[in-house]
Amino acid sequence: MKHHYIRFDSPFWKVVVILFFLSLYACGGEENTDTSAASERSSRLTDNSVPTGMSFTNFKHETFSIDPSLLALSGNRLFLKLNRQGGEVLFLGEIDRYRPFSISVEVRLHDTQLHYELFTDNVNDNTQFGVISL
Amino acid sequence: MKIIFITDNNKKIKAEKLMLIMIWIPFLLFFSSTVLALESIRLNDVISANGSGDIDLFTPFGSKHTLNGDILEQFRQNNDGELVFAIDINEAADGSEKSSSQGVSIASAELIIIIDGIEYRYNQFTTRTHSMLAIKGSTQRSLYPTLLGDSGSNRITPNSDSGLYGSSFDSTLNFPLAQDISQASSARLVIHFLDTNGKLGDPEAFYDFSNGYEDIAIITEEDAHYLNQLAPGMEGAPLVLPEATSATANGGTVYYPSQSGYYIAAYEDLFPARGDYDFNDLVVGYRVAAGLDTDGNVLTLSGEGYLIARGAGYNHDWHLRIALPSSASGVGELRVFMPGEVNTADGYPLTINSIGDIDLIAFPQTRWLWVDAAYEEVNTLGEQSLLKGHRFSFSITFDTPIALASIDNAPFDPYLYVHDSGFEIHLEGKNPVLSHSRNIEEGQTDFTDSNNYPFAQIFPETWQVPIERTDLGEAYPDFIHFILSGRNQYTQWYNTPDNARVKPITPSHWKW
Repeated sequence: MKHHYIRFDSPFWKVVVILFFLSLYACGGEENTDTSAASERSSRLTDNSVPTGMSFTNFKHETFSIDPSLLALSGNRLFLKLNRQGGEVLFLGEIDRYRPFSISVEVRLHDTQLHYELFTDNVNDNTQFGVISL
Repeated sequence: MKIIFITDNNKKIKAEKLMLIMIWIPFLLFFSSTVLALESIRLNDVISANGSGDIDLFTPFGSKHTLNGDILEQFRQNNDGELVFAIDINEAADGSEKSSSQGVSIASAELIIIIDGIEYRYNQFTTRTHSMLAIKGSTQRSLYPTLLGDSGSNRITPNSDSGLYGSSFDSTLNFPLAQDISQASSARLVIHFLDTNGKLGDPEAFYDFSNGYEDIAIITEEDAHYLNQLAPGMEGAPLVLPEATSATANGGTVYYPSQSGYYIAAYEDLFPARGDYDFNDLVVGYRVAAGLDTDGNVLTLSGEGYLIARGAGYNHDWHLRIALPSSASGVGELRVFMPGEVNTADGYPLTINSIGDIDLIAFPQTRWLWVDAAYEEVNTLGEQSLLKGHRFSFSITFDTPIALASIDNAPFDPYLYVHDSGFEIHLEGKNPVLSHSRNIEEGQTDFTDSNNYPFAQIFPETWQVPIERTDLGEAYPDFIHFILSGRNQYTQWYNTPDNARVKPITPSHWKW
């Protein structure tokens, strides 16, 4: 049986091996030296770890407070309607006419205002509209 | 078999007559009772789309029944001196109104009855609920009677012959009448709904009339009691004030996140292993309302929610837990509804007897509860047709009021129990609570992964579900900038998805 041997020390194979390692260096080098740039380009969570303890919530707590005893109203029953600036109702109903009232609500992070209306069971009392900056 | 009781011929004939009488009496009694029994009757006229109706009380819907003065008088006597009507509320299910809760308000209603050529008018009436409302073009609010209901119902009244049986009648309208009306030659009900100032939002937007027409029936005491006990639509209606306007203080309702909005809870269920970050393994929309007294203490808690998507092979229980003081106690009900149906699923309602925290399994065994016959997942594959999900609702009334500040903050603790892994998955910062889960035993009590992302997140309701195996950051390119900015920038990241990478499941689809 006649054996054929490949001679890796031939000029041809030397060029092939050098080109192979050069190509590996080129590809790998780009990946290794530009990791941060790749992360900036990618919005994938897989590509972006975040610092420990980051919050992910899209809502924030706000407290609305009012002292109805300071209001010049004739009615005996007082109703409050509290809205997000987008119009969604956060609270609706009757509150004590003569005592301070406070309520915790949730709004979106980008909300900057709360809107409220106060009205009574007396038709001579005008509905009072107000805005509170957050 | 022939039975002869008496051998004497005359006596035998008498006995046969007696037998005939004995046989016929029960039959005649049954027949006469069937003929004479008073049944609720749907009327032919309706309240039209313009919010007004001129209803002839002598014209029933269909030909099965007859209506005249005599029969109206029977209804009056049956209801202890009142004529009672049922209204089928049939409003557009948009805005804060939805299929499970709709309403209208009454500007005026009058009975006009002619007896012996004399016209009698009755404009004093009652409804079960009221609200403070402003009419169109005004911001001045006054107290108006309201009618509440839901849509698509199938009322199972005590009497299956009733005109309400199988119908969707909702609220009752009562006219006290001190006068015998058996000799009436004509009887009409003229009613006008209130044209509310819908631009103010709720409560006006809820109690407007927007769709029509509304059917009317004249009903028996039995059916009036049935509808009043059922109180359809009342749970979700805003500013519901009691029947008596001089009643004791009613209090208000605080809504989380809002009266018409929902939280969306989205999960990665491979915990504690990192998932594919598509946050669609289970997606649930939910909200909670706390009924308060005028001091701001909590009398009731209620809530509802929907299954939106299930992009998992795993089987979960979806819990809604609300931490309460250990002394809190109350009773309530949990209901689960099949997709698009108003009647509860088999096995519901379940009674809630609560001491301390509330922990409801609102959607049990999701893998088997909600199935797309063609796919393992539901509503997460690009080519997949959208399915409506199940709905849950709950309400609980506390034995004594609880300070609002002593209740867990919204969005509370919506969590998964994954049957396949034995782990529970909570929002960041929450703790495992189930004694049968593996979390505590294996020290898996932190619900963030090796990249510091949570396994559960809460999004606003406009967020749409990423398509299967799509990284949340690819579906929403601004999300990572929102997080890395410390949530100071890109705060509305959820409104700018890459539309090709999300499933277009909008709230109008999943809120049915």
